[in-house]
Amino acid sequence: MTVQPETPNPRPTLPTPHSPMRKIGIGVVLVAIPVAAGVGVFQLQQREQKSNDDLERGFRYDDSALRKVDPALIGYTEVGQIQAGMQKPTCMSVGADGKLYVAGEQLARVMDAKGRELLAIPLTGVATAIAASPTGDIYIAVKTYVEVYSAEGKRKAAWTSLGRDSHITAIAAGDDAVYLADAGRRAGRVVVCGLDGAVKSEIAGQNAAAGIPGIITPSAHMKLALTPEGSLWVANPGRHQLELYSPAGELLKYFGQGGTTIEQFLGCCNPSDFALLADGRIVTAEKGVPRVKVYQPDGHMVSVVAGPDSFGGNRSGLELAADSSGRVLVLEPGTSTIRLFAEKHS
Amino acid sequence: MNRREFLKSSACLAGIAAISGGVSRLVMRKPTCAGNSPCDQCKQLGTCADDRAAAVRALPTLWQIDPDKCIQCGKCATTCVLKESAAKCFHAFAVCGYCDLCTGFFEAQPNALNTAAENQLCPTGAIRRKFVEDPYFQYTIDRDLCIGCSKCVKGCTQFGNGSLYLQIDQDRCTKCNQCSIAVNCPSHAITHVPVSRPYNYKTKTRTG
Repeated sequence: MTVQPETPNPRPTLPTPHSPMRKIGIGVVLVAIPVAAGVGVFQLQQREQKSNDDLERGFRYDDSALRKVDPALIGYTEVGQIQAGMQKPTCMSVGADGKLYVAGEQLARVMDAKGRELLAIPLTGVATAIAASPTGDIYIAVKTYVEVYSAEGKRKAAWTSLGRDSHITAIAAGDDAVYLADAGRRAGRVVVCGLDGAVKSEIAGQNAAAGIPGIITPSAHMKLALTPEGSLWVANPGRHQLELYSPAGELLKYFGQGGTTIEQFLGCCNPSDFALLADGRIVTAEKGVPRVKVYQPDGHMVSVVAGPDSFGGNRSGLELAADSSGRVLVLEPGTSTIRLFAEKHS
Repeated sequence: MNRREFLKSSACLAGIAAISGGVSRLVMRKPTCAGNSPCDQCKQLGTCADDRAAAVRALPTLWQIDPDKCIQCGKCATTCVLKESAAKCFHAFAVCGYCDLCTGFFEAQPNALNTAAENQLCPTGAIRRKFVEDPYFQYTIDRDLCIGCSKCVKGCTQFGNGSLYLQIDQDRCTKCNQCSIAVNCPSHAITHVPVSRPYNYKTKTRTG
């Protein structure tokens, strides 16, 4: 019997240094390394970007909760709009005769209740406040001083400036006195002038003995309004209050509180504007979170005229007025539009 | 190797090369003409990119934020080449209202107006609140803690006088040739300022 010698297993054939397969393999490796490195760097960049995006999300100031208003609180509805008829309106008021007075950069306009122009008065500067007296004279503040025009638009006088640092933000004209709100300094003041422009006195300044805390004006927002009885409501934006003064300057009452609820006033200088309704209620406007609300004179909030959603991105402040029929007029400086709101049940 | 195998291998290599080229293009920055031949932009301008960069470096200018253009997006904190951004919060005391309810200091809906951590807006507690006199409070920035996130600037600008604002701290800035924050700034608020006026300070305003 012959034994066949075992044939050794043939050794696997490796590609020779010059074989095409080996060349391809080396090529693949050479290409794969930079590809892998590139993909790695790309993924690292993506990861860092995602991390940065997450951080930026954490840095966002979320004021969405402040902008929400319970729809049940809204007691007014928009009934119309009037164009201010100028590029940069800054102030507005409604006279005792029902006329609408609007002023801005180098122009003041008098309109009827439907927005038809009755008079246009060219100005030399930017108006900061406008009001009409019971006799029909028109008082227009140009930052530091007041110009007086007749009902026909004829310039009657220009009063002496209250000083370089003054900034007149509101005018209330009575039968025998004109009240000017001066927010030019950190401590605001109400200057009482005669009809000839002579300064008679100052009220609402800090007086601890009389229990008057003093008006604080962090910025140029300070409004005032005369009641039919001759008392004077004055906004104290630094303390988030509305204060009622007698003609002699006694502090009769006040209401208002800073805070984030709908009844309170939010931000640095609110209420930034207010107006008196014919029945004695008070309409307020706020900047930052733009909203318009109605209060009883005792400080109880009655309803919301319009919430932040109604005013879009307008955060710089709204101008307010109210007419004898109870409509609330809101001037949006950004859109040069006067929006009219009426109470829902009326 | 026959012709078919050769073509197959070549196509395979070409495909791999194309993929790797595309990936490397995504990863790598656009090359400049620092080499031998000038790029189209350099030909158009008549100068070399390197020369232009050198000229910018030689100019006595610094990077700075324009507060009027800043939209407080938070990218200053995340895109600066420094781990802790060179952008810091500055405070214009002349503009500040010294309010009790400071919207730059407090969260949008604080539990109470006190310095408890949960009421503070700043993620690093870099704002100090100090009672001055009724009803005024003073707010100061601890720049060592500030990370330039601009959260306080947003709150102050939206609801207050805008006395808080971001500026690039020139003591920290490394003066990069191309500022990384400027590249990423969505409102193009970061520009060159002369060395003689390194900061865009806010001044007193009464407009609100």
